[in-house]
Amino acid sequence: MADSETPRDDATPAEPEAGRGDEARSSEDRRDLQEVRRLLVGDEIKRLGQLEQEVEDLVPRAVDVGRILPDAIDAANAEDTARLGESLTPAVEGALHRSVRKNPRALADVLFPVLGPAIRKAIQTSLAGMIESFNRTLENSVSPSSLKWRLEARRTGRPFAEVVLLHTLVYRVEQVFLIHAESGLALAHAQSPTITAEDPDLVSAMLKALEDFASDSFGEGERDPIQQVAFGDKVLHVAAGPKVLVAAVVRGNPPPDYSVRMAEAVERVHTDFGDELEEFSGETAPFDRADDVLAALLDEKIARPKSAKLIMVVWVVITLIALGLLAWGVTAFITWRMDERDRRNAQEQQVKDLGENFGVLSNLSQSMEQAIAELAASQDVRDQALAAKAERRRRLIAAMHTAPGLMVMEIGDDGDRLLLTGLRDPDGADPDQVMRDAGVDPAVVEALWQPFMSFEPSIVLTRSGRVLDPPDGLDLAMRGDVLVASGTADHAWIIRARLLAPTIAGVSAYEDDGVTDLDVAALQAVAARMAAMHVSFPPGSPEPAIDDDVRMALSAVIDELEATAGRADRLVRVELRGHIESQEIGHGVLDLKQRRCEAVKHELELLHEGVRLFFVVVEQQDDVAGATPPAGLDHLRFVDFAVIDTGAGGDDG
Amino acid sequence: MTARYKVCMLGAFAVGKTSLVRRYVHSIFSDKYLTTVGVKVEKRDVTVGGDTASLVLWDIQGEDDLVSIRESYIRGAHGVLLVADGTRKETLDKALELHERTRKLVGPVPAVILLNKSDLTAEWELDDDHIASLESEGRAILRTSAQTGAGVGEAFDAIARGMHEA
Repeated sequence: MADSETPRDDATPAEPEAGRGDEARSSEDRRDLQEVRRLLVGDEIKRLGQLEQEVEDLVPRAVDVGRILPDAIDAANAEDTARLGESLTPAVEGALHRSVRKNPRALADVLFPVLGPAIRKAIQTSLAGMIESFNRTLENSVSPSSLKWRLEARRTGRPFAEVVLLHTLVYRVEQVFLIHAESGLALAHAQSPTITAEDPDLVSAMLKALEDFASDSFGEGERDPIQQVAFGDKVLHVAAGPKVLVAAVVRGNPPPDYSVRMAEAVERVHTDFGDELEEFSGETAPFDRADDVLAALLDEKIARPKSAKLIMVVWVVITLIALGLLAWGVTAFITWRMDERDRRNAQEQQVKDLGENFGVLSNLSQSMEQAIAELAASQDVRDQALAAKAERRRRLIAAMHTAPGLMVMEIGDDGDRLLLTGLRDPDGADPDQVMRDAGVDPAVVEALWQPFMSFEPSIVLTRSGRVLDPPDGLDLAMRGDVLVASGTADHAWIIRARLLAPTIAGVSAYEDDGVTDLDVAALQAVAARMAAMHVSFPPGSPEPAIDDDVRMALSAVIDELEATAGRADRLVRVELRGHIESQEIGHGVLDLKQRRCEAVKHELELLHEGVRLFFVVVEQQDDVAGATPPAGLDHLRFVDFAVIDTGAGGDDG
Repeated sequence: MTARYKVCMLGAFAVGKTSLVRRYVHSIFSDKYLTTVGVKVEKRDVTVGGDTASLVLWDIQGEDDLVSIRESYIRGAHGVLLVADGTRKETLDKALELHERTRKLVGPVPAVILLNKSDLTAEWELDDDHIASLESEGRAILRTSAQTGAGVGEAFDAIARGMHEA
């Protein structure tokens, strides 16, 4: 520490004079002294050191604080804006006060851009509110003038309030200038708050220039200032004095005394500002005091359209209207009383009716509840009916789908009935039967069938059966599209079937190999019977020993042969074969055989004149020696028969 | 201190008075006033010696053989700007003549002679010795160019200073 050096300096001058032996003692004294100092002022020295350190630390600490201060403020703002504002308010207020006291212009300059618009806005808002209020008041008022002005406002597009103001305004002084007569400089200026004026300095100067111009151009020698300049609905009034002019821009017609007031103002300015005007060299500040004089000239007067006479007329009109209203009121009251009585009676009747209606309503309510219940029930029934209908429809479609020869094209509903459109083969299933089998009443189905031909094998077989009409014992069957017949049938059917079967729709071929022709079989049976028959001859005689029984038997068999051959459509030849005995040889054998056959033939032809039989004599080369007589004969003198089928016959054999 | 000074712009026809004023201020009036009533008033606020002053400039129609300046426009002037066209020597004479007439009307008010169209050096007609001799008589003379703006501000500052100190 620096302080510790001082006592050492104080002790130093004694040391050179002391001897070497004194050094130890001196050192001891110094220690003692230090000890004494420590005991006496040790705490103060320590405290002093601390203070010095604090002073030295102050500057860097301020730098540190300055560094973190913005962040600290940000942090405080983020945490609690209000608290920081409260803390800073007294300091900021104090600083502002000091700043204003020290230099008001600084703050004014800062606030100028803010104050100007704010003041203008406040004034505009205030004026707009006033105009609006005025407008509303006017809108609610009705008078002949207001109607006229309303029309004018509509025609010119101006606000109604503005039109009214213009018409009711007798006059309004919009601006007043105090102008230095010689230089034309504006010494002071006042204006109505409702107008916007140009720079008074420029306007004053130009006014003065114009005034000079007019005076120079049209004046007669002596200076004769302008007193009035009219432009549009405004008039510039000028009151001139030796040193100043007072110019007022007036809208409308001011009262006659206004020019007097202006002249008085000019005089007052001359009186009040005589010295300033005399010494005027451009300094206008002293004339600020003239503002009051000018403001007194800012005057306006709104018209009072209702004169006393008009008010009287208005009162008379109002009184008449009131009397009229009274008379009308009395009449209306009497009428109302009468109507009231009638209405009361009507109301009583209505209450009565209402009671009855209530009863009806109550019954109606019960009926409605019942109706609703029935409706619900009917809904169930309808649901069930719908379900049944759907099921019926499903079954019908399924059945029709499997039924042969029926094809459903479309199915729909018509109330409780089913509408069905489809194709039907006449040889197919019976639709009504199919419906019944499916559990559907044919009566609820309205079917519209279009005919068609099905090639289903079962339908083709049915169709074949219908066309061919097979006899008992004959069966028809389909093998693919081939119609196969089997069993027995007469020859005529067989022939017809062979002709018709191939023409049946769905039949590509016809087979009847398995069919036995009954007529052919019968022909063969008759032929066999005839072959077993013979005609006997006496020995050596060419004439047959034939009795009536033989003759009848022969006739019958020949008729049968004829008939069966006709039915079987066969041509049959009956051959006659003559036989002789060995004893008769020598008597012209061949001739005898011939003669005997011819005799039988003749006999047969007598018996039958059929067309399908013809008889042929065949020479029988009998081996007489080995021949044996037929059954029922004991000799060989006979003629027998052989029936030969010669093929298919024709119509005339 | 708030002062208003009337300053008259005087000079021959077409020396550039209106152009100089237009360079210096923004007008609200039409130039037609110059031809109808012979004057147009403009204004500009200036700061002189720490005070604010308004220069009300009377731009008076130029004078020639046919048109003479209305003296009533000059009355009350606190200062005059006498404008000459440097490319027309005779306009300087007109300016000096007008200066004399002004003195008679309004007294020895501050006056500055402006030699305008200084940008047209090739056509310059004025003799430097003549100008020097005028300056030696105590006249304030400045070269201006309404075209380039050179010297315009200085000219108005000079007249404002002169009036303020008067």
